[in-house]
Amino acid sequence: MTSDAKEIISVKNFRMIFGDKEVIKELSFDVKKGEIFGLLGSNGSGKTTTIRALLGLYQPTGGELLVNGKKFSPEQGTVVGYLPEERGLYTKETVLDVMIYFGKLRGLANPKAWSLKYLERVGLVDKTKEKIGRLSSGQQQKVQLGITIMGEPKLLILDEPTKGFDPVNRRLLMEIIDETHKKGATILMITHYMDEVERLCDRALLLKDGAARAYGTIAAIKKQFNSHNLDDIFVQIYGEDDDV
Amino acid sequence: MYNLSNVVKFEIIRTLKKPSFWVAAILLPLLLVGYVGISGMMGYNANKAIEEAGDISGKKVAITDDTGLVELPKDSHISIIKDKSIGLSKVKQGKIDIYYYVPKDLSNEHPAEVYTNTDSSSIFENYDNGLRSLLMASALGHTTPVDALVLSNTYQIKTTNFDQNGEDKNTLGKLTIPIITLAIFYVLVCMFGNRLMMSTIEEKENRISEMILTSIKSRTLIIGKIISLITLGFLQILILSIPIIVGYLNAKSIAVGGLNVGDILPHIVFDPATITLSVLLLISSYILFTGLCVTIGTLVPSAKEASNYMAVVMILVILPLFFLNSFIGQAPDTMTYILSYFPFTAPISLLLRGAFGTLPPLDAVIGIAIISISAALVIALAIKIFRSSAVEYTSKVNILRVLRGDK
Repeated sequence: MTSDAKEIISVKNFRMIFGDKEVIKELSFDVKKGEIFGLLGSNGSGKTTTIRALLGLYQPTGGELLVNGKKFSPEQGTVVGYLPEERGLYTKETVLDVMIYFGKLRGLANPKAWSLKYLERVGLVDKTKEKIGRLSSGQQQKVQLGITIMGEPKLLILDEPTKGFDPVNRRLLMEIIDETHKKGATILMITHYMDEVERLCDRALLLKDGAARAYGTIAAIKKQFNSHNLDDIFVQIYGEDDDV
Repeated sequence: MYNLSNVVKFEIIRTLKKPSFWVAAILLPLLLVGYVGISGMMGYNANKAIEEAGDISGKKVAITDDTGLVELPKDSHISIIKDKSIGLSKVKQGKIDIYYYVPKDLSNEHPAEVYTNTDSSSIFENYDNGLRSLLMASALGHTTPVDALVLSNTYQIKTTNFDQNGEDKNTLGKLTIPIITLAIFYVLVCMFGNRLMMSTIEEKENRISEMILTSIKSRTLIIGKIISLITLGFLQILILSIPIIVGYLNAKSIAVGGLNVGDILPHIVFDPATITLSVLLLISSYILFTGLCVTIGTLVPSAKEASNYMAVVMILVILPLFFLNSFIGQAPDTMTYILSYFPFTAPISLLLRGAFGTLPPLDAVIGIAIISISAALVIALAIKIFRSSAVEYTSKVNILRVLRGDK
């Protein structure tokens, strides 16, 4: 497969075993270039595990997970922007130092200029010399978001992107997702908010116990479950689970 | 290695920006200088207090000498009393301040006696030395100059040890470099141990692992951190050595423990082979120690848990000190080899043997090879553990599972 392929993410027969528990069972799906894809499921269904395996943070027990036709490697630089579920930064360093550091790691030509421009946009330009630990959680979220979109990535992977975001930052995030998408980026997002999925996503995969319960366009999933509402479908699939 | 220089630069610069680095770097030399100065000053003051407390000048002193040995100097203000009972009576009445009595058969059974009646309340009040000086001066007056030196124990002895080629062994001069190497390693371990351990915990504790590991490989991050920590360690040693260099340049005026440093320096042997082995031993040992601390850091989820493991590392560092006897003798025993070739006790054991002059070059080379290979394995293990456990934010890592490749 080459980077000219239609898929930017390709997952085939992915299996993952933790200890004696198989958490992902022969999962296969792909994400097409330019689309917004929703990875949905209850807590513990295997969404974050799938993303971590895709990005090389977990070694899969079996199967093949490719980004742009290759196993993901950090050397791919600005191809992927990742906002993980577990978020954090170097709290004892200043905002600008951390952004410049990540900018350099991601191969930006002028990380300082990029960071200042972004910080100005999100209203943090007066905090450049502030230590990250001293920022409010909302301000830290803005910095994390900036690092995620550095260098205009071709693929944005957002693990519960609006989790913990206040309404202001949630709107900012949605604007950025929209802008990045309009520039041609593909977006894979994990979320529990079905309204976001319905509004944003072209296609989705619903995971349950490590296996696909539904996969396709939003319209096809609705048709499959004979429902006009994704919330109802979610409840139908996961309603019996304790941990939704 | 892609991005390695960025990691090294970031880690070094952010550490150099921390006041704690400079406090540690500057405080130790300042403490050393302060300690030497204060202890010297306190010693001087104590000696002065003791001297003043035993000073007989300005006091009314009398002596009864039944031996006939004592010869008072012409300008002496000590008066002679023929009878002990008169002397005792006078001192009790306060007519004299100090009264010395020397019995005819002066011996351990019949000691000289000192009686005082002064207004001093010092704990150091003791006028024995005044009498001792008087007796010594009187006895030396009856001997030859050489006898006087021998009896007063004020003569010097100059020792020269020859080697098998009949040349001066100059043991201390030859061992100076290994001794300095041992000291540097201990300073590095004591000052940097904790920082080394914390270096990889930060990513886990602050939940940075996922963001950072999608930008760089875990191998790059760990090696970058190790390079920066080693660089910072040696930078700190460089800062620490500034007072030593200043001392070297002014060595003639420095005396340590009665030895004039200026007299020792010309004898230091800068043998290229010794320097090379010492430097290689120091570097490989420090890399192994760094790798060990970083590995522990990758195993635990928090700084609190890491500190428990620090004790294990310190035990390994200190352990060889309990077997000093195995390193002093020229004939190594089984324990010498066990400690010298077991990777985690080898650094200190070999450095100690080097400092004691009991480390043959072949043993040093074997030891350096063992330490270097162990360091590489430990760093590889740290990378493997970090790669497998970077997103284990709350739980301890099962090292056996990591080695087996299990999740």
